[in-house]
Amino acid sequence: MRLPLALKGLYWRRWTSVAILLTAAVTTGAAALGPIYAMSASESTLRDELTLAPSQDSGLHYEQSYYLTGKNGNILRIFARYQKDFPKAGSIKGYPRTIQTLYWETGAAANPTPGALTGMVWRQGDCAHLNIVKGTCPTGPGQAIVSRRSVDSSPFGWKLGGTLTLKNDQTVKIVGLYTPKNASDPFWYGHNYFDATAATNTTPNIVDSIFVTKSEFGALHGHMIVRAYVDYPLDPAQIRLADVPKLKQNVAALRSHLPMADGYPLANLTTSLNGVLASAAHEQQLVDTGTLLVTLQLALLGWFVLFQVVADAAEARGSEIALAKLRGHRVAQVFRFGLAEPLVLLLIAIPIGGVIAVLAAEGFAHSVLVPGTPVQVTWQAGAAALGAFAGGVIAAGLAARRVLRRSVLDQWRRTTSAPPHTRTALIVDIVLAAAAVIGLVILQVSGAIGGGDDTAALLAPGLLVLALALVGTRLMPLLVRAFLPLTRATASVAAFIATRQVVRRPAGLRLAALLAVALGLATFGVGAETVAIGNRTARADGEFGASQVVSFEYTPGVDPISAVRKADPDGTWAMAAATWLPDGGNSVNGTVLAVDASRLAAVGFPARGGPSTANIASVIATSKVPALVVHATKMSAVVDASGMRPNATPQVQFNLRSLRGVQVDAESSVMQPGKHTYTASIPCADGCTFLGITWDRPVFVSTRIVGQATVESLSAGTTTVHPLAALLTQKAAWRANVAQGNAADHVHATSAGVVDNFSSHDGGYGGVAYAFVPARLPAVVTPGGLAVPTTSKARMSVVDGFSVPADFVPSEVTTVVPHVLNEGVVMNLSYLQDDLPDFNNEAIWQVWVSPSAPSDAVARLRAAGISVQSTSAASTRIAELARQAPALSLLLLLASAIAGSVLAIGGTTISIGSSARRRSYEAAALGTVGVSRRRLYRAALYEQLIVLGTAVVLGVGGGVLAAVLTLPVIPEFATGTPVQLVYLPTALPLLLSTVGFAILVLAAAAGTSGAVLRSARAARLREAEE
Amino acid sequence: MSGLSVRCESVGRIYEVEGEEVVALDDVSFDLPAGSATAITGPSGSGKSTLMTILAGLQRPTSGRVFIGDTEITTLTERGLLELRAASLAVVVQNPQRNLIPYGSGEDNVRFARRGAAKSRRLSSSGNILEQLGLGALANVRVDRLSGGERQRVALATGLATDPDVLLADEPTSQLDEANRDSIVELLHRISVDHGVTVVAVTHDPYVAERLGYGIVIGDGRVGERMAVR
Repeated sequence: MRLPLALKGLYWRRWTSVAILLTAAVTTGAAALGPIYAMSASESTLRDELTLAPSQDSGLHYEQSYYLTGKNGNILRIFARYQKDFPKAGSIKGYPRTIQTLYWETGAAANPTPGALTGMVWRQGDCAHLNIVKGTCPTGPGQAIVSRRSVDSSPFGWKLGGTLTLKNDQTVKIVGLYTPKNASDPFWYGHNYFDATAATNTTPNIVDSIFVTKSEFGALHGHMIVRAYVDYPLDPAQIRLADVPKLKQNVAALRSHLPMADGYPLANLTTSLNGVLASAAHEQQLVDTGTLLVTLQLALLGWFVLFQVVADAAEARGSEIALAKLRGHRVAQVFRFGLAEPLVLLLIAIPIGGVIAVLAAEGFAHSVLVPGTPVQVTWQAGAAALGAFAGGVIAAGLAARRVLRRSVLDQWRRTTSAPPHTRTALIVDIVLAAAAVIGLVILQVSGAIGGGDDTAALLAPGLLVLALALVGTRLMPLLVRAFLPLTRATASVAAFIATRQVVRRPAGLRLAALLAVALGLATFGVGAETVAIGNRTARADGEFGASQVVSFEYTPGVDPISAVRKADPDGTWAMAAATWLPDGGNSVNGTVLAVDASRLAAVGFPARGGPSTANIASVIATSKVPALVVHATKMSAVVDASGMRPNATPQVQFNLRSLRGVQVDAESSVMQPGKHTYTASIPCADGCTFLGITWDRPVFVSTRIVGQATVESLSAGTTTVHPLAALLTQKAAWRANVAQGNAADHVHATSAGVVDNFSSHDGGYGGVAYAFVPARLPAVVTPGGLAVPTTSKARMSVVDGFSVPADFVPSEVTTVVPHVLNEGVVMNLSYLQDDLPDFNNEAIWQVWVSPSAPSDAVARLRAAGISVQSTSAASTRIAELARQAPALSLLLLLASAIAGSVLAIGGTTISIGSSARRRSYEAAALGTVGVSRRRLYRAALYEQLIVLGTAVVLGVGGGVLAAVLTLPVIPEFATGTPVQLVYLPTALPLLLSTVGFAILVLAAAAGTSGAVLRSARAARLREAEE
Repeated sequence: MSGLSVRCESVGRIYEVEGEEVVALDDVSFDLPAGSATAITGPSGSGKSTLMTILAGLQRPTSGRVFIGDTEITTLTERGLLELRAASLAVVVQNPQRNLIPYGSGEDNVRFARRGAAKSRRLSSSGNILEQLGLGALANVRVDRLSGGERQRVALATGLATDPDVLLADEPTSQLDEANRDSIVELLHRISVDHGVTVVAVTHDPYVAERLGYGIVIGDGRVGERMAVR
């Protein structure tokens, strides 16, 4: 009986019931969403951490080296024997496959050319991860595939179909040429199989590994050390949060129970999984804290709205409760009757709230989190939903208490019983405001504010807007009171009535404070999200340096700058770049970023807080002398020499670099006193960049060489030579060549040409360099990228693998630069190529691609000879950053705060609508004394606009203030960044959200004012008299 | 069902309105026999409704004593008053919205009214009061869809749902047309005669007093003696 009657009541008051149900459902949903979202977000961050970690960090690596003597057995049998004690593929969750590998570091030579160091590798399934550009994969012993660039490097003499002799004199036939599909693919597990390095004076060349069949290792003979290892790459998709403890246990068990033989471990186990998981756990903790704080704030907000709505609904049921008392129902019965309807709604709200929470979490998971992130309803979510239900019951109980305790007669005379704004309420507000301020102070003292990545700082905006809302709404009637005299003097009756209503007994003051808090949080959320989006973009742009970064493998003979220019002749969307770790020089301890300065401004992104790309380009490319590109087969110079000692004259040598990056040193004849023409053949029909002229020391001259040489003209051609515009009379165009050994050159320019007073001792030699590359390379540096103070007067240089130095000067010191951020040095790529002969081999190459690139950009780069390995986009990084714990907390705050605002506006509307009856008596009375209905409507509207408008002003103002004050201390990223972060919210979204809130509030005010007017009938007055 | 007497002894009620005392009732005394039907009449503002609420135990007099049967209700606790209303005293007020749950049917309202009664009383009054009063056709109609007269009759029926000894009706015929007024008065008469309930009807309508047979006139907070009305 009771339930059907309650259901009938709910239907009879269906709109109020729906409002309460929605409020309760949203509150329950908000509470349940917290744990569900936290779980999904943690799953997502875990997946990200595991996916982004290098495979060699998250994977397991068993390795043992075997010294084969030819007597101790076949490596394949040994390998097979000890593998039995290793975990099987799939036996440990997360490690579904194993990759077996045999590796022998050997020499390989195609006789009679000199050999090179390489690795002979069999890696299970390797051919599937290599592009076989020519030939086939090896199918049996005696066959090998080698990298295409090893073959392209003419010094080695390797060729398809040729034979390589290995260190143990075994031979293999080159049956195919490969390029790695993606050297950074997890399959390769970070092994350095593709690392070609040119020879130095003391070490031979190193070339990419050669791949053979497993059987080739079985056929090995002689003495050698073979490394045998098994890699277990992690499959991040298999690991969920719940699996982590077991995973740790399993790995710990593997570490402590290595397969043994004769008391010694058969293999070493290497993994950095614990570090990866620790990082994930840190993010999970950030997610948990952030989600808890956000959920708590929004659940509290929802609870207060629910309380108010239920209180108003209870008021609306006052006559029924009075009837129950009139019929003699006992106190408990009256309570049951009074609470039956809200309890039914709260019970229904549990599953609806659960569905809302799951749907919201699904929405977040699909739009923000890692694809495939599961949404799980946990017991914590159930507990939170039940907690919200309990909170709702308490709210309903508290709200109904006043009505239930009211006498029948008081209930019938309810027109005069508006909830008074008592001293108690004032004290409550003061206490709350003080608590909010104290909370802010505690956050400051505890270090949560300004303490780095403590998401507890997320409490700060809520506390701030709460304090402002409470104080502001309390002050509002006092402020309006100051305007009372003005309304007396005006003809506007509506303003007169409205201001007095506000001062005397403002309806919905408590709700105005609530609304202000909700709008404040939403405004803060909007501002914070705009700031976060901007900062994520800035960070990703700074970290990448461009919209896309295409990694590629350097191919000898293909000059990256020229190839990129071939793909993008207009220089609008592609730029060659490289990162490089100097081999020496002791000046740089960070990474050198080398960029094609002529394209940096068009293609690159600046790192916020650092110089613009145009600024960097102008700093690092100071030379105004254009490069001299020669398309010729011979070159000649007219040199007037004097002051030389007999039998101690240098040989003239032209220095050029082919457009494919190959150094060309063309020897001419020995220098003779007087003016002579010196000619040399140069292999530059396809084009070479002229570098300078060396006064080379002939092998038979061991004594000191001195003299003066004036280069009067420079010519090049094929059949005939033509003068080159070599700017021989301009001092800025020429400088002393980098001295090799003990040599000195003093260069100046005269009207006759470039004059060099040269001298060299003990095998040294010098010359003149065409100064399209500065003597000291200008660099934009960050203090963290230098090993010495930026103000150091000491010589700063970087040195390549050939021990060739390139001096540089820190032309501009800044805090951050693109790509290498605060631990880098930016230089002009072509200068480094010109100065450092091994730079091309040592650098890690990239093509930076701008947002305006054509859709087939990568294909065009490939067509131009770029051996593309992988492509990464700044947008991907932005998405990754958006999935980090702090970003997820901010997003949850935004979504919840907007929902909370809509809830608060709706609750306010319902509450004011419920109080329409009370207001309608006054309006009816005013109507009977001649105030027109239009004026009464305006009066009601003005009153609501004053109250709700105050809430909007306080909320939006408080939200903006909270954003400005607290965003600098609220973490946006899981890890710090040197990229400058900006904390000023973008104006347009704030403006739009404010307009949206204002429209909703205006609609609410207009609607409720209409309700007051509709109820303001003369009959009300008689009702009030009863 | 035999009804209970209703007795007032020097009942006074003084309100304080904005610091000034307003005398609503002054030394009101009367004794209504058990099972009788009496109309308390008087002009607007004469204190009729105040007297009714005091008889119903909804407010206490400033002075004097009120008895329902042998029970002095002026000394009863709130709980005692609730029990009294649940067991012996039915109140029907002027505004139908205050007598009935608008979204319930007549049957729902009867059940609701019985909810406060003791179980034994609920069982003894389990007969279909609506049928007994000739209102069976309205039993399953939602109250807010009934006419004013129908509502008032259903309200009286719900008042009898717990088998009370005394029925207090405040302006039971106001805002009703003549036909409805007649049917209500007839119903009150039947309640008194057929069910033996003591009926006290506060009304400004002399016709009601005439039909009920006995009346007490109240004016300026004072009452005359109960007398037969012809």
